[in-house]
Amino acid sequence: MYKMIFVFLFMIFSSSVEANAPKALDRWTILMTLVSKEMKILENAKHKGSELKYRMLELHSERLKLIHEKNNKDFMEKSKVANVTKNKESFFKETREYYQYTKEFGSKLLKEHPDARRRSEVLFAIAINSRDYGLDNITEKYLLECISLVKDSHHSLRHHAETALADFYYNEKRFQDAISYYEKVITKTEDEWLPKHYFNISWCYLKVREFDKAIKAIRHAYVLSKDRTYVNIKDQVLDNVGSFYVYAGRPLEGLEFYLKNEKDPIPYLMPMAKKTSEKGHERETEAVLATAQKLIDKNDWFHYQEELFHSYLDFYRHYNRFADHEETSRMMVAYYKKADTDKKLKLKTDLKEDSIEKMRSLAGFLQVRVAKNMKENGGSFKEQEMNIVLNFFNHLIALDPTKKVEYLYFRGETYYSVRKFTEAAPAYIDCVNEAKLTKNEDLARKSLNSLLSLTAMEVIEKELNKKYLIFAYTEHVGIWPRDEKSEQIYPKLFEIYREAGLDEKASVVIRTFYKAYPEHLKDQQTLMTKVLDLFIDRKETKKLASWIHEFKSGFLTFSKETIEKTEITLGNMLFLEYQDLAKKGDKRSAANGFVSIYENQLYTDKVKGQAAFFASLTFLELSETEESYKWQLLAFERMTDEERMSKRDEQLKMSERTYKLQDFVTSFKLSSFFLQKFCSLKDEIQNRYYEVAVMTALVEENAEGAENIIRLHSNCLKKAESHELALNQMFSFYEKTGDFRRLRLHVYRYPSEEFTNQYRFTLQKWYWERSSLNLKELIKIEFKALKQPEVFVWLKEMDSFKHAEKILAELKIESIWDQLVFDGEAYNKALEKYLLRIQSFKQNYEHLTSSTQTDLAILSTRMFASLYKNVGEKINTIKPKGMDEQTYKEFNAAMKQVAGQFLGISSQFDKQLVKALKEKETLAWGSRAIASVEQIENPVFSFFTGLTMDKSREE
Amino acid sequence: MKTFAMLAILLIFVSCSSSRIDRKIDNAAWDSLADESYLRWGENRLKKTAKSEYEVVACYSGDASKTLNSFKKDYLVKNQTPYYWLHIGNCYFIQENWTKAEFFYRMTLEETKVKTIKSIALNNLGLIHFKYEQWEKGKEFLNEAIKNAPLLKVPRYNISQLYLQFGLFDKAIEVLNDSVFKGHKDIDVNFSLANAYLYKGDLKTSAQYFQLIPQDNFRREDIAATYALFLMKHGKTKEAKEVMDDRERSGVAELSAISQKIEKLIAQRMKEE
Repeated sequence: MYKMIFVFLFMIFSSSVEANAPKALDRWTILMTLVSKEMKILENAKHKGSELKYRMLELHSERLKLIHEKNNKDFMEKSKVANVTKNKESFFKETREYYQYTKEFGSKLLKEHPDARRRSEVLFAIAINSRDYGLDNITEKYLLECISLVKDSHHSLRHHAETALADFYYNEKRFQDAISYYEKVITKTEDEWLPKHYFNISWCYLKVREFDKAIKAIRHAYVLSKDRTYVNIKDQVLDNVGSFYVYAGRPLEGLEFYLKNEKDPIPYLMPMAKKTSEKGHERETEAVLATAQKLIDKNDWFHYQEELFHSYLDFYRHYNRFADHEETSRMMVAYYKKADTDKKLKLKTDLKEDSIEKMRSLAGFLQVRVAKNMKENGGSFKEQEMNIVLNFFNHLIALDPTKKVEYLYFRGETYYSVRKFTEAAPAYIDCVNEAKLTKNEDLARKSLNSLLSLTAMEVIEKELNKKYLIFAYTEHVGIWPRDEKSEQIYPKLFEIYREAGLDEKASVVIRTFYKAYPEHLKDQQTLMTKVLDLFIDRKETKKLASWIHEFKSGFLTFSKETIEKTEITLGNMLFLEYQDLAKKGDKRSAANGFVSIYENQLYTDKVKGQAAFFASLTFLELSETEESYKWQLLAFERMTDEERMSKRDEQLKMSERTYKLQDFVTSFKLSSFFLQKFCSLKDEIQNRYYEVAVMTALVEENAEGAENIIRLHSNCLKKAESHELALNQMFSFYEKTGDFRRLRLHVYRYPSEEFTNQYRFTLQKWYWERSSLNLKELIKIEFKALKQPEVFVWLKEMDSFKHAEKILAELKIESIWDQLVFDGEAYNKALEKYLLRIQSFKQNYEHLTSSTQTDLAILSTRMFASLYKNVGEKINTIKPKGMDEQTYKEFNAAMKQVAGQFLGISSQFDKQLVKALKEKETLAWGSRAIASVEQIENPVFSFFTGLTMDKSREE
Repeated sequence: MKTFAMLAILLIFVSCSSSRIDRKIDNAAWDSLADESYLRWGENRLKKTAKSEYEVVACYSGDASKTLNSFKKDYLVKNQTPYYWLHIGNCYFIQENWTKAEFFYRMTLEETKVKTIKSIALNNLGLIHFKYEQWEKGKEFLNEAIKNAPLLKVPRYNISQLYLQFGLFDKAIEVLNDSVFKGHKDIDVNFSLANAYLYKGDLKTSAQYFQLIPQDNFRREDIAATYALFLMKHGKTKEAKEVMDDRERSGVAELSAISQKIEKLIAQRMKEE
């Protein structure tokens, strides 16, 4: 009946599956629904007999299975995301509860129906439920009860119960009990699971160390598996048969079994080799592996090669055959390389990660061992083992390049552990370089720390040690510019470079230090100062100059004073060479050197200013005044106000030197320039510049230039004396050059009693000395304008003298008697009239002889002497017409007496004049005019007949 | 063509115009002032003089610019040497650059402590002041020069020229008869005395001094002019004309004017005669 119902249910299930195409979970729901529906129908039955209840037990068991299925599914899913092993039971709470319910339902059935036909089935169901879902361990009990109830040894239920009990004992490791039931079970040759039972019993025999039986049973299972009547468990058998031989201590027989029974035994040989190895059969294992390798080689079964390599690795590892292991690893490296390069071969690489792990593991192990040996054996170690370790790391680098940095580090550590420091250092360096590439800061730090501790021991040759230390320091600060250790490293690294004289590198350290730790500015400044000292010691001016530019642009925020000090030092260094040249006499080269410094773009304004100044000085020493001036101006342009001030004394001396070198034009330019530039200072130097400028202008007869200095820069003076001196010089200049117009202007522009007085005397001198009538007229006009009483007198005298000269000329040509007939009375009257005119002339102009105008006094005295001489000669030689001889004799005698008086007076005038002039040594122009022969002045003229002197015997 | 002619005339004019008389004396025996002045040294004498004795000699040989440049170059080495500044002044004097000459003479006075060198500078400054027609100042410098080095002849000679210029003939004769000139033969000293006596009216003594002047020197314009006047005083108009005709023109404006006056006078006398 229930079978029909089940079929019915199955049909419904099938149709619903087809109709709805449900998912897996849906299947569970459907089955559960079906079970529930049938259960409901059965529960609704008014009378429930044992058969119906048994069906209900089956349905409960079915539901229990579904619930467990569901609980298990939940557990598995949770397991995927979390470790739920500890709470596993909580997932199966429903299973346990429903199991209990089902078990009670079955027990109640057994209790209510002790004679039920299906009692043995109920017992079997309870036993199986307990085995599968319960924790109450009642399986054995209920199975034994079931077996005891089924007397017929051929009854299938009994066979099932015995099989289940055998499996139960097998699982409970009660192998002897299991054997006793399996021996019964295997007698039922109709059981399609017979190979399985043989397989199980073989295991039981194995467990109880009955190896021959075990091998026999398993080999029988292999044979039965070939029979299609039975379930084929050949694979299981093949997987295990090798082990059976191994356990039996006859691994080579196992090998033979595989070779004999399987065309491709390799999949079984490798596990077998493993097992053989585990069981201590080293030689046999090697034989198995070698056989496998031969098969691969013979049949080109390269797909097994990778796995076989692994088997080898395991084998060698197991027997500590490290060299063989390493050799195999080397072959594997080649294999993987080939796999990578020759894709056509389709070499398997599934186990590559495992290979890496194995090599890694062994390398690690050996590394520790080598180090341990080193410690324990007082510093000795096996060189070969170390080489193996190092080779492993090389293999690993090849196989696992992503972790290259790690292996490089391990190489370093390996060397370090055996105190092979010379080899360790480059290994660490390799690691650091790789770490930088892969950005593995952790290993970079570790390697650098190792390198630092290594170098600290000072066990490597000194220079090499320094090289590594520099590397470690440089990389450390490079990777972690701001880091506790780097903070300590900067000064040390700097010191190394400094001591080695590597200034550029030392500078770079400071720059990096500054960037990373601006708060340590003072320390950095101190370090920088040391670098500068280095440059100074080495006279590396270009570098020094370059740094000054840096400082000026703000680097290390050095104070202005420090920068200036450095610049001065630089300048001194730069200039020293050329100053030496100059000292040695090669001034040309020195000057060119200073010019080259100025023209070099590298140097700062301060240096250039100084260079230009030195160039100027040197050109001056070369007497190249114009060039010196040019560089003086260039120097000035580059100098700061302070520097300009500091050079003033020298500038003044240079200006003075320039005129001493006969270049008055340049000296004037220089003096004017500085006079103007420092006008506001109004000090002694300014006074001197002023004096030099005026003086040099006048030497060049550049009156306008001198006037401009006076006009524009007299406000730049400290003392007025220079101004007064300049005005006097200007006056003298115009006076010397006879420049009436400018002299006049000067006197009007700078009126002073001294000038005015001197002016009128100069004009008076010019009036009498110069022949230009125009000038004479101008002087007279000027005299009028002066409105000075004394000058008015002079003017009158001048006019008077001019008039006197005219009268004198008339008198000289005037005839005393020119009548045709002599008349004594008339003659006397005429003579009287003439002499009265002479007297009148004397009265009118006699005062001129005592004029304060020396020239006039001399000229007028000479005029009177000339007049009297003329009168005397005229009277002396008179011979009136119509006078008889006798009368003439008497007349002449009388006239001679008169004439003699006039001639005597004339001569007296002359003598007195000569005497006066001689006594006073008067050098007036008038005196020259009267000293003549035949009215021609003396060709001797003091200026052009005088002699200059060049030397003296008296020296 | 016209342009060339003008240029040639201009060149002649330029080359002829001068401030001073060229009166080189080739025979050292007639130069009693040779120890003090190179001014009258003839070309041959200058050539014979080792230039190393004094660099200034080159200036008298026509290399004034070059020599000045040499002084400039040797400044550092030579500026402390006794004659450095003085000789620079003299070179400028020769170039007729009076302001520069004066400047360096004044430099000499500032820089030297040697009395004779001071005296030389003072003498030269005196001449410069004569150029400026500052006779009194010039005389002061000369007197100062004599005071500093009484045995020097040139300052005395120069002051005699001033006296002659201003008609102080007795003073000139007195100076030129000073013991420093005794025992020496000198064309200019003799000429100055001849001149002084002529202008003083003592033709006889004048004639004695004229006779002491070597014949060649009568071509010098100042001597020729004076001697022509001397001849005129003796009524030797024709001889006076010959002397004047034979003179070498100095190019000195003042002297040329006097010569012209004399020639005019000669012409007038000859006409009268």
